[in-house]
Amino acid sequence: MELILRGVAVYLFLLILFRILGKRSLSETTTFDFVLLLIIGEATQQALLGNDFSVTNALVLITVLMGVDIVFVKLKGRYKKLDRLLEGTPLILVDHGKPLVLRMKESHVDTEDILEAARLSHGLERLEQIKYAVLERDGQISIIPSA
Amino acid sequence: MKAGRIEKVKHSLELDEKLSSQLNDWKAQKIGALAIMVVIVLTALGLFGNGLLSAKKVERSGITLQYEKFLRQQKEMDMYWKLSSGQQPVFRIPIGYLANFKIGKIVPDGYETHLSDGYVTYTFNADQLTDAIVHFYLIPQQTGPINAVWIADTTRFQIKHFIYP
Repeated sequence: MELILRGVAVYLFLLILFRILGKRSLSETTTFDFVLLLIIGEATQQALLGNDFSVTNALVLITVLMGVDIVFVKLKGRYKKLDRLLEGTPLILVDHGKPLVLRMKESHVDTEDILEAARLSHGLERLEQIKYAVLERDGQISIIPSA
Repeated sequence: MKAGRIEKVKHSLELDEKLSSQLNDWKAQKIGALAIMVVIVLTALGLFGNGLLSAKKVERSGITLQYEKFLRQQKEMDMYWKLSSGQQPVFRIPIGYLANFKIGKIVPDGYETHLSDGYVTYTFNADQLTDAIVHFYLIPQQTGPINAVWIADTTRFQIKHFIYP
């Protein structure tokens, strides 16, 4: 039972923590973020496994975590509000070449991020060539070019 | 950020953009970021052990006790006792209290124990005591609040811990 509680508690804690950090925190993996994720991984391992490093414990824990994930996926599919709460909603950041500054500021996205996404996905050169830039739920920026 | 200040967009995309939900997200993120800072400060101050808020020092009848109020499960803690001359190095610890801990080490190790009236009594050989200092290194096994009264010589000490999981 303790193992299940540990698994659920750590899962929920990390879920809340990453929601607090915002969408961009997961998509922008800089060197610093990579180091941070490694350290979080190490700390989480200890919290999850405790002093029991047996294979059984690890396998049961993985099963518990998968189970929690399945439950959340089912619940998110059934309840739209929960889905929005856990995953957020997409957000338009550029409207017909015009950057929506307040939205960008609140989302911690700058023009450079949008131009980078535009270059990578469509080879665009300027902001005016973007019809819409959307910050997606997974933190990626999708670009719809002007016709 | 007030909802009225955020740019409204009329778009042709089939997009589930819900601005009210987004505003709540941003609000929650700000509160969450503040909460993280508060937790960091409180941790530095010792809310989770080893700090100003956690360190407790009690002096009574010439006996000094130092211990941590906030403990973490499986992390060893030190109950530090200093006795003045003339004090008998005898400690009576409730069995109920000890049931929450594993005894890591007791320093010095020249002592006798016996059980009576719900207490475990530790009697140290006064000749072996260095500066009349006794350490009980205990490892918390349970979680939650723990209240108990230790008796050192004849003086009662109310001890309160909170053990985090």
